[in-house]
Amino acid sequence: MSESAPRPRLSEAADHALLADDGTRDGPGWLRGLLGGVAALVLVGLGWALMQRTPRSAMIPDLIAHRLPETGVSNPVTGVLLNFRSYDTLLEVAVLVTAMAAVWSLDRGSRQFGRAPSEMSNQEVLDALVRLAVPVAFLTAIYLTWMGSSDPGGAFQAGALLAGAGVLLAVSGVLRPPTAGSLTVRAAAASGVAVFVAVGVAVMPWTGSFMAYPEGWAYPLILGIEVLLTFSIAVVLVELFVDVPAVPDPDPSLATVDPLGDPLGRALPSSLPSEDPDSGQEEEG
Amino acid sequence: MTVLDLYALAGLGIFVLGLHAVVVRAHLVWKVLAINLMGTGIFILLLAAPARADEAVADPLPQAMVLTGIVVAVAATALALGMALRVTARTGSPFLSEDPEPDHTRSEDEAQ
Repeated sequence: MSESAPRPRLSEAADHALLADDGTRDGPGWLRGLLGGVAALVLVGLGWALMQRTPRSAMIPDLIAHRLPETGVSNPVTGVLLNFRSYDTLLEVAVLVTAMAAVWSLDRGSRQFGRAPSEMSNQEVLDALVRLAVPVAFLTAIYLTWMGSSDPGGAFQAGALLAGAGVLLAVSGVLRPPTAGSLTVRAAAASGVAVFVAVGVAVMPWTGSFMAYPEGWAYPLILGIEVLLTFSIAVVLVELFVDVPAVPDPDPSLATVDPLGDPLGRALPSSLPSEDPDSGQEEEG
Repeated sequence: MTVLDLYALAGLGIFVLGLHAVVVRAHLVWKVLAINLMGTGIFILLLAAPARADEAVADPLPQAMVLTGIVVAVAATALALGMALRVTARTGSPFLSEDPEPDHTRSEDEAQ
């Protein structure tokens, strides 16, 4: 198929092929039972080790409580995430963006995002859900980002909520997600990490070390980072949902592998029917 | 045994359930779910095991680490499901092939 061909969608049959599992590949019952026994032994051993633990000292919580005023925020979890251990949070967002890039590289040019609106049998329900849930999700996400500095909340909770709204918009066909790998998506997804690193470097002339906020500037900087993180986390999570490799219809004549499509040049699995050169192009659109 | 011990033991139980399923189950989506379950068990353990009944406020450090862990688990799950979809798209089956013959990468591994 050419690049301009419609994106392949997960058909009902492919859904079934992907999710059907009669358990016949799971190995014989005696082996599963034996492994269940082994797992029970592991549980007993771990449980015994757990009960031997000594009470943790109160040193770290006390340290966090005493130095919390220096972080610029009053929610200790946000203080840990964006000040004491901001490296953790920076790398965590980097992991998200990396996972998105890895999913993109799995199957270039063969993508899907749910079904087209016309294929939906429950479009009215989805439309009503979009009208009800998306505005509430956006409002709640803004609230969570803002409250994260003093109460439970923050960029990740708000980003997940925004992503839920985005997924709803995508599967209901209200908004068509931008093309995978487009500059818009790349810039939006990377904006969180980019701003995080930029702030970390920009404070160095004043404080002399990476990610050490100058006195009095911690709160505005953390809030700015949180807002950008919320946005880019939401973009990455929506991308991870909508931009996955397409599964073609499991029609036997289509269940063939394009030898040219595999960079490693692996041969066909023997269980698949051999195909003539033309039909190999049918598998991925 | 306190309630906190019970939470920690429940976390261990969930972890071992996932461990069993990831070994026993052949279906790739089951394996991804099982690994998720293991992660969830670890998160519960990480929150419950160091908690102390005499503290009014829970230690924020494990909370922050679990929050980080959840996000990383989501990213890894998305990648794993993407790879499961890719396997299904290429082989027509959501199981890893047990036939070593057609897989060149495996024979290369054995040669090393």
